[in-house]
Amino acid sequence: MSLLAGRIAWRNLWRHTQRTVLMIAIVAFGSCLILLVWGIIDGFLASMTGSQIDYDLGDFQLRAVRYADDPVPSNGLTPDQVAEAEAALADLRVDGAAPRLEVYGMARSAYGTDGAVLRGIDPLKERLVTRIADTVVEGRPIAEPGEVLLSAELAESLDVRLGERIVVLAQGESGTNSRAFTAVGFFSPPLAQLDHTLFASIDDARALSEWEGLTAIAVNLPRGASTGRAVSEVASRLQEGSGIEVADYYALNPLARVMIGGSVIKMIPFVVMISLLAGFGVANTAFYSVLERTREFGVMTAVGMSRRLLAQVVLLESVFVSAIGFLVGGGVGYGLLIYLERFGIRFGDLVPGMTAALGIPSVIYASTSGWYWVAAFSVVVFTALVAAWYPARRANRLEPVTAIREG
Amino acid sequence: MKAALRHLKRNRGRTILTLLAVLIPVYFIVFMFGFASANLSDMFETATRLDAGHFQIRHEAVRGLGSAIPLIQDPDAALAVVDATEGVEWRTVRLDLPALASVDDRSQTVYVQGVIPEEIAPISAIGELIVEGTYLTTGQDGVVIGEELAGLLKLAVGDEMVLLGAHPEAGIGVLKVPVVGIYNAPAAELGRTVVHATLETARRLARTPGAATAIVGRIEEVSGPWNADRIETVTSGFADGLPAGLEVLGWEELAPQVAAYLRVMVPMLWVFAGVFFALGALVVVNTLYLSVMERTRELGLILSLGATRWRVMRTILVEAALIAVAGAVYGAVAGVAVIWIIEAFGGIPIWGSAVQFMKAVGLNPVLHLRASASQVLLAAASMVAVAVLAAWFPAYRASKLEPVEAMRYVE
Amino acid sequence: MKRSIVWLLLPLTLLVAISAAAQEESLDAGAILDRVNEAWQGDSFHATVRLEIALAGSTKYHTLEIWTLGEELALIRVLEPEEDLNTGYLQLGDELWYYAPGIGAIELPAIALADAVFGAGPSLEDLSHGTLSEDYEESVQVLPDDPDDESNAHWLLTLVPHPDAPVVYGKLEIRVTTDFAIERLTYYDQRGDVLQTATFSDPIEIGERTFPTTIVIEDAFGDRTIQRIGDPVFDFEIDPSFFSVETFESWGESE
Repeated sequence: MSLLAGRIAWRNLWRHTQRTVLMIAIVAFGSCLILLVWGIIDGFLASMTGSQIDYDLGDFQLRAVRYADDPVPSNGLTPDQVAEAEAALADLRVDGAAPRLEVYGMARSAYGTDGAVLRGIDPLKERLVTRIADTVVEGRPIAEPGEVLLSAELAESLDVRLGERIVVLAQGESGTNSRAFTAVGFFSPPLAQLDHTLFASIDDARALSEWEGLTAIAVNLPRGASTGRAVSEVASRLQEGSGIEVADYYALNPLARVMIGGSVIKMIPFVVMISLLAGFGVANTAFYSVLERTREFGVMTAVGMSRRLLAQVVLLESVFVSAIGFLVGGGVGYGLLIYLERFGIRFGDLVPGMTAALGIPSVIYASTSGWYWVAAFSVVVFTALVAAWYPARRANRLEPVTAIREG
Repeated sequence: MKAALRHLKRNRGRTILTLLAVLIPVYFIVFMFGFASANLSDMFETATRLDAGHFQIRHEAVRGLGSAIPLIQDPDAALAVVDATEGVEWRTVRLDLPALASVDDRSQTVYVQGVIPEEIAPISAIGELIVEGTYLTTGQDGVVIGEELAGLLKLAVGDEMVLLGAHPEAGIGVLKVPVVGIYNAPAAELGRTVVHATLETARRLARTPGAATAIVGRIEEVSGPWNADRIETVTSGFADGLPAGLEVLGWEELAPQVAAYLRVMVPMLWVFAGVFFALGALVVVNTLYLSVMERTRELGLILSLGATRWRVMRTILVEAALIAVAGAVYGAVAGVAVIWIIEAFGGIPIWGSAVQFMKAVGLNPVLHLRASASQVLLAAASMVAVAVLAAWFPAYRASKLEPVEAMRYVE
Repeated sequence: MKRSIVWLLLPLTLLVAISAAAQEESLDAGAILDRVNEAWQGDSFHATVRLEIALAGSTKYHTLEIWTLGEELALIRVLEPEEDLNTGYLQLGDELWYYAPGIGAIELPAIALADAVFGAGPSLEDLSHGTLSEDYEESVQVLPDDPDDESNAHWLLTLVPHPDAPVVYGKLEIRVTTDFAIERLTYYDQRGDVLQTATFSDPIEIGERTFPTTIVIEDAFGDRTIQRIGDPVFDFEIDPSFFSVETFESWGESE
């Protein structure tokens, strides 16, 4: 490529402003679209996982290795393991670490019985890790043993009113245990997976399950901290053979990885098609312009311009258009993503009422991280190549006389 | 008209390019609609497969039953009503009940779904997830359990376990049954609790011969959420004939999560469609607009030779329309053809981690495409409109110029 | 059916206890229930019971043979319907077992049982807690004379659960004649509505006890169970080892 070709190409472009602008618009639009779509989808998925992390799981959990396959309290962390886990978390920069003892049992009211998970928590510590307290619709979160916070679904299925007493039964080592609880509040779970959950004090959970340890310690990291790094840090502090695992979101929710992977794969045909369409658009216009300028090119070659130079000019015209288009599209696209990341799309307003069922928070933040620029760049590269190739070749093979005559 | 055709033929290169400029966007739009509507259709199918169906007839819940569904003591009357109603594609009967599974000294609470194997085997998600052994067959007592349950109770295919029916409204039925198949569902919760048995086995567990918990059915010609309201039209025909105490539930109540998902996805897919449309329109505008602009000088010449503005414009527009229609038609045909070919080969297979997820919800890990007449027409017609409009502006502008100016026009 | 088995045991044990208390003449509710406590220890009971259960629109019939010893041990053998012959239940303290010939004994986790026990109705928990006074605050009042009632005034025992007792009821009311015959046991929810009523009738004299032989239990949903108790026998010698799985097995062998 010579500088001369570059300058000629540049001048050519701006001599046909409208056409150039339209071509740039096509590339810009295509790149911008890919950026936006991918950023929004990614943000959407992150919001969903974020929702689970915020309301249920925490950023990561420490639990016993054998708990995953058979989640019963007797497979939970023994008191020794709890001590070791807490030691591993010491000095780590965390926003909160909440102990939990979960036991499956039956919740009974005078009107019905339903299976439920009783999550024994320490109310003060739990508040630092999850935001269930924010979802209380009637009454208040628990404060002491003997109190229970039920999901609204459970309250409805058992027909429990605020202040009434329910009994929870669970299986312990020595037989069935039962305890009475006063319903001090109802919460509206933002996640369907919590709709059969009761929150009570760890002491009560202990009495029901007869387990002195815990089933998990849920940890919340400060905003922006890297979960991956925290997880490996904690894992490295644990002894070999401790029987404790550090489980991040994907370990806690294996289906999620698969679902997210699936969404990404479904995006690929879309990206490919946008790239092709945009590429075609530019190619078409480039062809057109070469066609239009056949005579002009004929004259130029007749007066001595080399065909190779001509081909380079045509090629560079395409490259410039694509590059500018990419910059413009990328700029606009990223600008919008940053805006959306900050302010979010008020998804809840668009589709009211649906969000809880899917675990989508009502505001979705777009994401600017990730390799979207690669996807967008693919548009550009593709358009530049395709658009340039054939016309450049044609320019290369130009017969001046025929060109002038038939142009 | 003839002039237009002649002109087009003479500038073959330009014509072809312009044709392509309409053809390709239309093709892509049809293709994209193909993916989108197949996706929606798939999700809808998933929701309305065995577990939900398009509709279910159940007994009204009178007392708190926990996770159990009320019993319909005698579903025959209701079945007669359903069978007599037009528009029902198929229906089956199910009895679901909580139970206790026990092997030696280990026991686990489970949820037994009593089904008629022939009627649901082709569509049951569990049937497709069998990893060991076989699915159920009518007339035998065997059950199908999940891998997790097999692990907890230490069972293999061929071993026996005791099932104790625990439906609050029924007697206790106790059976010793062989495990005939083991399935793998990535959701561990499912694998630990759901046990499939034949309807007869479930009835014996509930000690209630002839009973059911639901009549599950599908309506003809419902292919996606867009014509799902047919379901209500048909089921409203049941309401009068059904015995007292029974109610009809629609798929949205039975699969609220998927219904919610679709309510979100449908507008999103329209946005995608819009995106494609915009890009396609931009391409079309680009070419048409420019092609007319290029000819400003030529137009000037014709004007100066005495043609009226109107005539000139009309020629241009006719040319544009011809190309656009041709391009749109070819594009639509090409799109539909490619879709048919891909579908004839069974669709586009998916790869990677998504495969597992799709199987878990009973979908085939294949990307499908659906061509729908209305969508294709929409795509084609709108692009033609865009093309004509794109040609109109510059033509109008050119025709407004003085011939001399036009001839000297350099953009 | 297991629901009514369990229902069966509470009123019966209450009956047994109160009829034992009938030996005394005290009017004090606390004293009555104290006697109930004492009566739990070492009291044996045996009878044949016919059950008629009307539930969710269908009616079923069962015949059972029951043995109990104190509050910890109970054994029930099913005699009818035929397909259930020689199946049964065994309560050993906190444990509940179900036995079926050919299958053996299965321990029922109370969870599964509680799941199946819907709505109101005493659960295993109510039973195994045994002493009612532990969970309830009791009071008694003498009902005013009823002009239509020829006999003496009745007593009404009101049992209100302690706030942290693992009981879902708001209140229990036991209506007793001055002869210590129970007439009615009413379960109330926490809102003051009746959940379930057990009505006792057809009393017979056994030794020094007056014992009602028909118990009708009705709940708020319209379901009903009728228990007809035949040949009741009290306070006989019985070896605690009788209450075991081997007893079930022995019936199977002797058939």
